[in-house]
Amino acid sequence: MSPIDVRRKNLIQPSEMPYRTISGNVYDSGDYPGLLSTLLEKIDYDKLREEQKRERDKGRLIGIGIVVGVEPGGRNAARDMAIFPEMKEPPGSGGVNGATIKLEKNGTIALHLGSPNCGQAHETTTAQVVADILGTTPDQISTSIPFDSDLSPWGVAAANSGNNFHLYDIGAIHGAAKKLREKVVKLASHLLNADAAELTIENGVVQVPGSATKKVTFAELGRVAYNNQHLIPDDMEAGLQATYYYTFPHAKPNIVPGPDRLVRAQFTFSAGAHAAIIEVDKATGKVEVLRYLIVGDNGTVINPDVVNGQVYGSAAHGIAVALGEGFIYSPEGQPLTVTYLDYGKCSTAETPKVEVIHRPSPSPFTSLGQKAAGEGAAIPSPAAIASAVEDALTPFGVKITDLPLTPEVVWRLANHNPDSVRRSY
Amino acid sequence: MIPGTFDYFVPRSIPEAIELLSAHRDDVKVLSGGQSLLPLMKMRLSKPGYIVDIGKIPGLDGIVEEGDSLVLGALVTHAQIENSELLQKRCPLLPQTAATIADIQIRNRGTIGGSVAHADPAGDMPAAIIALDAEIKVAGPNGERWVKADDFFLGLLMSVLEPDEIVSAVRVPFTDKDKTAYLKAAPRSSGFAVVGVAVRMTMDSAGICARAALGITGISDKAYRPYRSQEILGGKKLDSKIIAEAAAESTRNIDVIEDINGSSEYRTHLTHVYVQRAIEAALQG
Repeated sequence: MSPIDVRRKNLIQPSEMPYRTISGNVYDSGDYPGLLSTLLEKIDYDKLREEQKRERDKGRLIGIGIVVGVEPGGRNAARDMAIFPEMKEPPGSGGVNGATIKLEKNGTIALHLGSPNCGQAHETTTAQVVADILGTTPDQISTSIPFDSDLSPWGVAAANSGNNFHLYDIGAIHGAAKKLREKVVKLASHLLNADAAELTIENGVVQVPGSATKKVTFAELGRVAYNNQHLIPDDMEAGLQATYYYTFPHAKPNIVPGPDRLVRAQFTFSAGAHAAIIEVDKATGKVEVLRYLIVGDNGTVINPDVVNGQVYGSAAHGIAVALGEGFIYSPEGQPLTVTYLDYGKCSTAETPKVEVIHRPSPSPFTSLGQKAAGEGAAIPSPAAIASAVEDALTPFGVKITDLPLTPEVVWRLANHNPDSVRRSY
Repeated sequence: MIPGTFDYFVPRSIPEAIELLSAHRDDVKVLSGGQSLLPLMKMRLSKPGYIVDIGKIPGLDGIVEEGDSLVLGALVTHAQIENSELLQKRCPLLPQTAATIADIQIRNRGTIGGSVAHADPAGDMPAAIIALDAEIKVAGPNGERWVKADDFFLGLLMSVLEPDEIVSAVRVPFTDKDKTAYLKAAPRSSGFAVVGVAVRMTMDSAGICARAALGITGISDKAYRPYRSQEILGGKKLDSKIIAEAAAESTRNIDVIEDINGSSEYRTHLTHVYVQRAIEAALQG
């Protein structure tokens, strides 16, 4: 049976979604066989195998590694109980997070997120989502950076970890923006003496389509909402501000582990199929990545540059884990990899080009079908590289059971000396 | 990452620098590009009480022709070497080597004088200047002297340089007609050499290697010349058998180090591979 057949046989089918795992997780969506077949098609797998054989006959050691993996996103705080059995009460549960949005007096929009940003471009993605809902453009929206817990709404998911942003922050700003839109429309319909259902919003202007007079700008609405009580409907709260707290609507069952200890560790599941095509230099043991392709399912892609950045970054981490990273100790137990001079992290120069193709299966459970992207490519990539190296070393009957695959380790494996691989000096 | 306290001097002439070095000779370091000294000071592996910055001394930053050789001032940077048309034409091994050193930022600051004086056992320039039969100009209280690259390096971060002496220049011969290459293995592109091999071969019109000169760095306490390999190559028509034989002799009598980047067994093997590949690269180039 080929490695591809093994994977095909094991993959959960799209028709089984949402799929409940034996530990209590629910995979929300995904077409794993589809990811795999697109990947194989893009690398022209069968032709590649023939080419590999031809090159092997010429003495070149080329290897192909194909791996499919899921990426959990949106942490359930109560999962810690399944990890630490001594825990009697959940440290929290589900994921609560808030966002506040304000239409300012001058018509611009201010957004206060419920969690901090450390380089993932939260302000770009959230502005895009809010602009779509409110009928304006992202340049009219400012996001408060840095996050300040004194000023912003926040909750248990207000942490820059656990692949939380896509679920809790987008969920919260999406909810807040919808609340604000209702207020905007209500105030505008009152001022324009028009039916709310008739109104459209485009480029920050609320209007009855086709009418030259029945229109009002965000700036005009802002002035009314904060200045002119006599123009505000009696049954409406003044101001144009909304705060929304998001909770995941599909968190049950197993939001908190019962006697069976089943628990939802995370709430959304992205996926990726990875192909690593590598060459081993038998004389030096050096592994060169010739091609690295990811067919990814990160749900609805809100901003391709942001999502791709997350995929590149996590792939770079995973590839470095396979090829260089490792804590090395002397026989006396002294750590030897204490700075980046010694620790085998790949820099930009060593990171291979990573190609990304999106094949999303939007989540039926999230506000826009979005899923996580921050950690995903780090999950299958070490296995893809290791599998490719093992494939390249097939003529020597090598099994790879350990990382990292530094040049010396690969040299020993390729030269019939696997038992002499040392992990400390 | 903060160095200890030190007094800082910026002499404007070599005699002034020597005077400062003589006055503080037990506790003083010369600062050139600072790409080795400053990291050591930041990690407090080096805690000199006095720093003599030679960067403002005029006349140390040029590359000039003298007869059939080139004299590089101590302050010439790796980037200048890499991009010098004169060197690319007259002594290509130096630009070939400089281009592999660390990253652009470091090459813009690091100098040939500093790299030679520091005598790092994994430094790239020491291997190149050995293969080039270069001479190093040393200035001290008793005037100047020229030291052959072969005699300059003594061991781990040790050279014949006295505490009150500085490297003021490096002289390399014209090697336009020679076949040269520098090849190194490093764990990362900006990392130290696990092994680096500099090769320079004079080929005659019949395709015979009249003379081969090699320098090897990264595998022992200092850069060295593999004499036996040079003898095997000299006077021969180079085929793969001769090259392999020379490569296999390149670590003879060398105490090969080991660290997290490679055991001594692996480094020995890797050196043989790199000597062979460097020779082949030089012949092809």
